[in-house]
Amino acid sequence: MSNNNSWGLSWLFGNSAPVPEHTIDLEQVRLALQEKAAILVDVRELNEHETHAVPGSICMPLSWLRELRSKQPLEPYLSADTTVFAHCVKGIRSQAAVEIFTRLEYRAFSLPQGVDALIAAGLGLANQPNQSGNAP
Amino acid sequence: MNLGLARFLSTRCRQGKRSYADLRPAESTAIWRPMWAAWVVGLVLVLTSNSLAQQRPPTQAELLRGHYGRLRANNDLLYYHLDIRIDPEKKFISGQNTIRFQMLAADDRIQIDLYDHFNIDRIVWGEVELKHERDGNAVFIQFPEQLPAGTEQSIVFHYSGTPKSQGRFGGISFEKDPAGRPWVTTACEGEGSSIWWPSKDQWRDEPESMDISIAVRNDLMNVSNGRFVSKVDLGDGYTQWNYHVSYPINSYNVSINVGSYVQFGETLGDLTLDYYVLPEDLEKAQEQFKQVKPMMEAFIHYFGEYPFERDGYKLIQVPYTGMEHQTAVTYGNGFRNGYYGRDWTGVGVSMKFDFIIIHESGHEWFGNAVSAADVSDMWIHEGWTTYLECMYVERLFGYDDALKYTNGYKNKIANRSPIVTERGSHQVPHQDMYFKGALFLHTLRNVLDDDTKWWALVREVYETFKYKTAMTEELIELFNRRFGQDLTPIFQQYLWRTALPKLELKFDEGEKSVAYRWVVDEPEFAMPVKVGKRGNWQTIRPTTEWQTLETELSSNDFDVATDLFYIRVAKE
Ligand SMILES: [Zn+2]
Repeated sequence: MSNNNSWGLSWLFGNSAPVPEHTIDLEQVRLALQEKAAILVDVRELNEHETHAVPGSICMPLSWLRELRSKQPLEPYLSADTTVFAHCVKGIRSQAAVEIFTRLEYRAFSLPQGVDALIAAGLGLANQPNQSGNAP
Repeated sequence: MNLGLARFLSTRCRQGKRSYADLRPAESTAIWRPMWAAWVVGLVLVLTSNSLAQQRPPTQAELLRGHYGRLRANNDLLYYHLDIRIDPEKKFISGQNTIRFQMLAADDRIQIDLYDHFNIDRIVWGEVELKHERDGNAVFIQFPEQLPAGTEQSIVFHYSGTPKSQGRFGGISFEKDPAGRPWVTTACEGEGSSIWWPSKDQWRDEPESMDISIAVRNDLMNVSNGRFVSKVDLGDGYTQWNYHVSYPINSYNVSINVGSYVQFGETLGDLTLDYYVLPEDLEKAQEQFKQVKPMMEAFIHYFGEYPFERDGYKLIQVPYTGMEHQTAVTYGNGFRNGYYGRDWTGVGVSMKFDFIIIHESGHEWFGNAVSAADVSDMWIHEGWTTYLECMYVERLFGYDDALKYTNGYKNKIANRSPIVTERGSHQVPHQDMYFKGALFLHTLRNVLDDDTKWWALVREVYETFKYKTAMTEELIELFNRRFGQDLTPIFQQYLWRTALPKLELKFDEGEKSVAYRWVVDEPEFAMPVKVGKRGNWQTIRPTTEWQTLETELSSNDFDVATDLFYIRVAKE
């Protein structure tokens, strides 16, 4: 990753306990996504995701995560150093997902905001996979 | 495999001069017509070549495909991660398969299969690019050193190319749906998985689990086997659809279904039932797929469980009639009962249910959970699944319908060649394996003549061999133990011999007696059978030697329970 914009992200990579969700600043999330230091995971079901989603978010339903007994099925898709921001509609399913990710030793945070709030915060743009994370 | 193909072939054999167009179902729509014709042509070609194959020595390609030689036997598959991109317009596939395996014997070479029109971009072992040689569709991969027995190894096989179509339905097909949108599907049991992805293309060895990542245009969806894991926008107009298979899987069962699907679903306890159909067919599907739940309940009644509960069950609309892809069963029966709207067994029972839903889903138990270790023993898939149809009919509609339905299959049987073929040479057995296989099991039920024990045995076969590959001999061993007698000559006669057992009866009306014996190829053949008066059968135990029974019945009145035992009867 580039260091240009990492000034706001040190909390993502420390060894400290997960930050309580109310302290997560969406601007910092946006930067982390832009830096490719994190991914945005939509833990709603596929049919919900198909209807309306933050552009570029990864659909990974909670129903699937609940089935996981080990980290192995996630390994092809999530490297060990990936930080996960999970969201759903109200932050309930995403909180359950974060507990699973955490148990599987991923660094994960639940976002209480719904799709529209996340798009309004610019997460859709930041999350576009091919967009460069570097400042112009 | 969908058994419509068998019927079409037999139609063609009887009426050799009819055009293929005559074989397509009368009610198919304009859109379906060309697909159908192509599909039938493809299958007829496959089957014709198969039946020819039985009359000549196997080719080098068949031996490479079917032989489980040193370069396959030296390793045991653990895992695949197939990760490819599909361009429906260019009909182009590119990507890689990560293959993890354990060496069972020290060696420096293995065999993987990939049709020869694909380009092998590179094969990588850690940081090392491996050398390879190709012989037809076999790829021999050379390692720079001996891989010790017991070690786990992983290679990444990168490839690209346009799949060669065989009879236009060649394992993978690039079609358009009726609205003109791309529809890319695979069904490669005949052609083999290596027609579209690099794999150990044989039946004996299955990976313990698998990940499938398919990237398709953003406006399309891919449905594959296993549990949906995630959908990732790749940012270049393509979306990656990821699925995880958490059970062993036959390589030909690995499938992709790329289309403009809508999804609906339901649950049965903890089991998820998910349906994927074209938006225009949603209402019809919502009605027709109501049959899935009672079918599941029927099979769960017999077997105690659905074999792949972690991965769920999916039923997916496709442009061909259907295929048993594990946990991703495909469906193209036109949302009508019977086989494409027609009475499949011709005795008035088939129209009560959707043949493709029941048959292809039945394979989840036999074919997918219990699998044959060699294509020679494919009756374990098709004969058993045809019998599962009969079990379904019995559970849903009662014994009388089941008896009619089962016997309805008799006139589809040719009895022209054995239904188990030579091993190790990829000789697909004659289509009789479906119907004769089912009628053979029906016969065994009546030989045992104890339904409680019979259903327990049917379940035990499933329990014993699920998630494994088996050969017929292993089934025979279990049957012998549970029957408490040696059934080997009976299995031999029905599966490895062409002719049906013939019960020869000689009446002596003056003496009020009948002499009886079996006329068979197997000298040790001895099988009980019910004779006398319908409703008041008496069991006799004929062997190949003459025996005599006293009877008041004349030759005309003396009946044999040929609806319970699939045999021929000759009266003198
Ligand atoms: Zn079948």
